[in-house]
Amino acid sequence: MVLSINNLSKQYGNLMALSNVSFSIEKGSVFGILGPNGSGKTTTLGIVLGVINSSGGSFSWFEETPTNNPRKKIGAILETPNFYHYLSAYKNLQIAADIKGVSYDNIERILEVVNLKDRKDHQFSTFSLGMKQRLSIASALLADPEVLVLDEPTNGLDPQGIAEIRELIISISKQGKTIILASHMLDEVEKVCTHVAVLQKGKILTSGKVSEILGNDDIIEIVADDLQQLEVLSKAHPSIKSVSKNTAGKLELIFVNPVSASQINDYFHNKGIILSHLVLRKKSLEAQFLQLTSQGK
Amino acid sequence: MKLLSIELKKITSYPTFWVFAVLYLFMVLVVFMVIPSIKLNLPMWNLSLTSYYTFPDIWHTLTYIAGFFNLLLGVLVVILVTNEFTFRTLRQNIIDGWTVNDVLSAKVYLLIFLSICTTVFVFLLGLIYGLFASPSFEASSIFAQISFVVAYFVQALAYLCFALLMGTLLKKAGIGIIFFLLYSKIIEPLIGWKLPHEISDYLPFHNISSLIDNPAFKLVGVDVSTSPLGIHFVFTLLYSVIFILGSYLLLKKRDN
Repeated sequence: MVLSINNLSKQYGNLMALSNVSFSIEKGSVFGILGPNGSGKTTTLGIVLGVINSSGGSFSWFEETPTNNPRKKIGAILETPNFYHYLSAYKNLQIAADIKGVSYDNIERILEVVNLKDRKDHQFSTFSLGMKQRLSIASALLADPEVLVLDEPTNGLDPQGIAEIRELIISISKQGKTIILASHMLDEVEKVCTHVAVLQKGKILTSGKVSEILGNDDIIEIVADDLQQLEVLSKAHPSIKSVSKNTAGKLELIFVNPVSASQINDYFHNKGIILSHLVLRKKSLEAQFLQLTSQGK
Repeated sequence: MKLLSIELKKITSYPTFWVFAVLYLFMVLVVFMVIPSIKLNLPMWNLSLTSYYTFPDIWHTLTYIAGFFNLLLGVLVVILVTNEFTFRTLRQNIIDGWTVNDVLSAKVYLLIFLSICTTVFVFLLGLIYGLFASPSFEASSIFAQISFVVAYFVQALAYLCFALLMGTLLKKAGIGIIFFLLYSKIIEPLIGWKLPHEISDYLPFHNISSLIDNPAFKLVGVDVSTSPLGIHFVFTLLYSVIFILGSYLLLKKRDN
């Protein structure tokens, strides 16, 4: 395990920003922490990075005792790019390298990776938000760390920048590094992560493999005169996963394996029911996310 | 040493640092050099400032004058410390691998370094000026009151430690500077005014500035200590430790 978190809690006055959050991150995985703004993602990362004091619970990096300072082995950005405004990009990275205890040899190469080489002698304060964000990623990569912690790394980037950063994350993970990525964007987590924990209002809603949690299920929407009978028969279908009634009074069926509309029609026809409405719908990621988070209410 | 070199890297490209450093050196130099040329028209005393500018009294005069400009260094330190909060670099330094202990030690080393620099400057200025201004002197008289230079170092360091605490406590440069000045110039004198002498003499700023008495008292025949290494010296050291400890507790308890 790279990181295990055990019942972590954080209280700000009356507000429970984080309550009893637990999860573990395996070596080599790309672990997404997914949740809307204010759900506790940054608080969780702040605690494990040693800048926020927890109100309860524990965590450990690399299965070591918490008294050891593991942060030199971790490259991390939290919330905003934090640099000395009056120093150049290069000097800012020198300071980060000094703190990490690594040589300056890597700086030029890393600046090239994030496309800032020709701006290296410019002051940080002259940078655009996207450039600042890329410099902070450079800083995180500087010591060639085993673990990369990225809090909303594509925030403020244009579409091309977002694509570049995602490719970068994927290529880094292919080198066998562990990446922890906090994001409020579902498609980002879906595109780059292998594992995910969904956070809402400081609580873990669910966690596990992305393919299991954010599975791309199809929904089949049906209506018939006798809804009650329809529901009973639906539940009796051999490959049914869930049956629910939506607000429009229609039944929504989700199946374990792909089922076509005509197969469904046949199934009910054989049971003596005529469907008055049959629609096959791809469930959007947003809908899944909303479904996940509404379960937590 | 590693910590200090990182701190120096943070400030050597910082224009504000150089503005304050040059201003300090310039002000001490100019004020010290200009005072002897002021002609005091007070026939009853027939004043001569000559003795103030020759060994060994020159050390007392110079360190007293330089003491006024510690304020500049204090404001500079408030800015340097609060920068770490406004840029959120304190947070980043910790994320990158420092502990709260490292963060504070680095700053304390910087304060010691700055105090050493100013003390060396004051020492060289006194030595060179004294060698030219003193008509005749014995080698032993040059360093007879050198303890004032030691006291100056401790005094400057204590000021800077107070600035460190203010910066850490208030986090914002503007508020930090205002409170630093307000406390030293108004709040503490007001508190001291209400308290009996035995206590008010030992309030932080009063105590720190009492380390080096106003040498002009000698003009009016007041007995002025020729050694600053007494009880105020001990208290000044003690206050420095308290200011550093206070900063440490703040950093440790707070979410950064």
